[in-house]
Amino acid sequence: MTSQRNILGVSAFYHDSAAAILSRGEIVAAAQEERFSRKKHDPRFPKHAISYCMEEAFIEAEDLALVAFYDNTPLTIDRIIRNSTTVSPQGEECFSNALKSALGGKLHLRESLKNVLGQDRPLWFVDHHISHSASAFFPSPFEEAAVVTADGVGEHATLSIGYGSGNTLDLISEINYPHSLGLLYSAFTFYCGFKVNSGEYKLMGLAPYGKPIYADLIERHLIDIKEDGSFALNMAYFDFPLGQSMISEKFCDLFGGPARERESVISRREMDLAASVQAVTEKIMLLITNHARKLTGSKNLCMAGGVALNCVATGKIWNFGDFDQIWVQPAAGDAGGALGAALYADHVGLGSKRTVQARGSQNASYLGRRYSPGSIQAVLDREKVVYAQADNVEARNRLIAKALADGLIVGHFSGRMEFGPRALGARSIIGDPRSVEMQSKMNLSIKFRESFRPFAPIIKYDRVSDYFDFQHESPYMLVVAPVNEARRTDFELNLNEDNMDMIKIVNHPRSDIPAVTHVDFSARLQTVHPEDNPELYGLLNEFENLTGVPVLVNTSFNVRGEPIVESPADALRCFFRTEMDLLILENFLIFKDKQAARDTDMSWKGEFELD
Amino acid sequence: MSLNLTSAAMIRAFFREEICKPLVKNRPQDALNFAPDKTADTYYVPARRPRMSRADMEAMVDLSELDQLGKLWEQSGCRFSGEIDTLKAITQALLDESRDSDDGTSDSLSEYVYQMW
Repeated sequence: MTSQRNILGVSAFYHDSAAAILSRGEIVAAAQEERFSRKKHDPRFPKHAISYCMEEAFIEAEDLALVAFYDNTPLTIDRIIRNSTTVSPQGEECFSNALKSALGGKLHLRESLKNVLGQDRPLWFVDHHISHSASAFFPSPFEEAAVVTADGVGEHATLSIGYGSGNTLDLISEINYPHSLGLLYSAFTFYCGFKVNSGEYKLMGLAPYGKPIYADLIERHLIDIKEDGSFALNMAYFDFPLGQSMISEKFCDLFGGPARERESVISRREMDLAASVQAVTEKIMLLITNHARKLTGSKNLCMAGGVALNCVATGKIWNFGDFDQIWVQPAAGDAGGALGAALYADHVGLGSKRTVQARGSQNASYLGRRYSPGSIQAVLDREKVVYAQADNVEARNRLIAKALADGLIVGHFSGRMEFGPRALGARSIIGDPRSVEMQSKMNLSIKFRESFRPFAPIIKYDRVSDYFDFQHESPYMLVVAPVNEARRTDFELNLNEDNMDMIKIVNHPRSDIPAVTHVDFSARLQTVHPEDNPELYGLLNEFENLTGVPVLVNTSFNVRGEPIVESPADALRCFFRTEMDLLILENFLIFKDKQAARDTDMSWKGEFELD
Repeated sequence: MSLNLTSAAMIRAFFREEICKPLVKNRPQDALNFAPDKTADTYYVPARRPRMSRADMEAMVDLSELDQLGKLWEQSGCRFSGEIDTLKAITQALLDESRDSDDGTSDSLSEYVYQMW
């Protein structure tokens, strides 16, 4: 064992491959492979992310005590075989596909690690839901907590309840495949014409446009829910065990026809289905977390797994659950498994003491690379970009705030990149939340995505209750809360209209911060604390000084289907392809109207598969 | 790179001969519960492995270490240990074929295996 206790965590071959590194128990770096490979949700071996983590930690391979991998492959294969035997003789295709996927790159894991690291290091394996649980509990600001994880499927488990205390963590109970809340939500994602493992956010964003008129049908036919939140799916309605489709014909018959074609018009049915499955999900998550409260006796809750990214459900748990405090791992999906595996190996495997920090030990999830001014300037000069420089942070924030108040849309590339799917100001596109047209402009001209999708507000942590019915911090944008009633307009969405003009709806003001107020007056909050990001807090201050509003629109710095930008070159490319007005690359300001005319060829859109 | 269907054929044969045929005689009763048992009080089950020890984490090996795979398979609670030799053979075949791939890396393996089907 090296004295530094450096541990590399690796997650790969599910979705969102990633690497994370701990040094003496501190989370030094973490990143998803997609940011480097530029392939969204990249499941391949994360060689670029590993190289970055090693570089950030300033260590060589011999300094690594061990590598922790997030999976128990034999158990996964066991699940595949059990699944196949149950559905046989139909399951041959599923068996073949699942086995090649389960074996896939894992056959060469040790070899792949050696190729990147240059030498063999001890390799440990941590179960899927134990890794998720560890990613939720160990970085949290709690000495002890109930831990709930839920996703599509790990090895066998799809959901787990556990309890963490100090440097220990134990799973208590679980629900096993095929009964999966994640796969239920994904089935509706598919049926509503969105991409599975990617479009779940869209379904959640669509839900407020609909009425939960199918919720009863779902509960009567698709899923049996017990009072303790445990559930079982009726597999007659699902085909995912066969591997060919998420849903069966019976599912389509129940909801009145075939699945919506992708990219076709969204109808009243999809809106109501989205509202319905969202309502069922919220109900189940509330019951499960209340059960976890009873099982563990803890008033603190930690969550991870893809379902934990359902921030509307988390908002309901905040409001109606039995917990005083909630902490959700910002990289709640499989990427966070890399971090969880490393933390579990350290605290449980090696018995390392855990020091609880008041704001958690995730470093506000700013765990990616920071680019130096010199390296940025080199890119700008190479690309013949016209730029200004503002080295003084306060002066720079005043300039940015003025631009925002004038209606400009700003690409904000500042500090270390975020770990997790949410852009938290380091790789963000920001704008004025008071603008009525901002939502449709950002959706259609900047992000090139569906017009109905909402944008999130970032707000100074100490002003949150002035704008939202929420009294806590939400540093990772993982909670949805209502806009204060006093700030709302008399907007009322017609939930019966069949052919809704969504652009007309989103352009209708719903509050005095319309660009970040969804059609049900909700908003997905990010609160900013100066200890987490002093520059961003300063920018909000400057914007408030100019406008009286301590809120900005925040969306990820990318276009539809593209991973969030990692480097200055990625940011420049995205900036010139969209209608952003101003790009901030650390201390460099690049105004679009100062640039020479650039190629307007839009064929680049084919580079990214639509999500 | 020529495609060798040996491992694909082996996997299919494994499925038919080792899984489907025995299944006709003796379908595992607890393999998967596909219909909700509405009379049950709860669908929670005790966690399969509440905590992993250091030994658990160290003992697991990646699948390229074939000589240990059978032992692990059984340690992990898998039911189908009787078929481990077949699975090992499949794994070996996949390994051998991937070594003939362009760069022999895991990145190319998934795609390579995919092509085989």
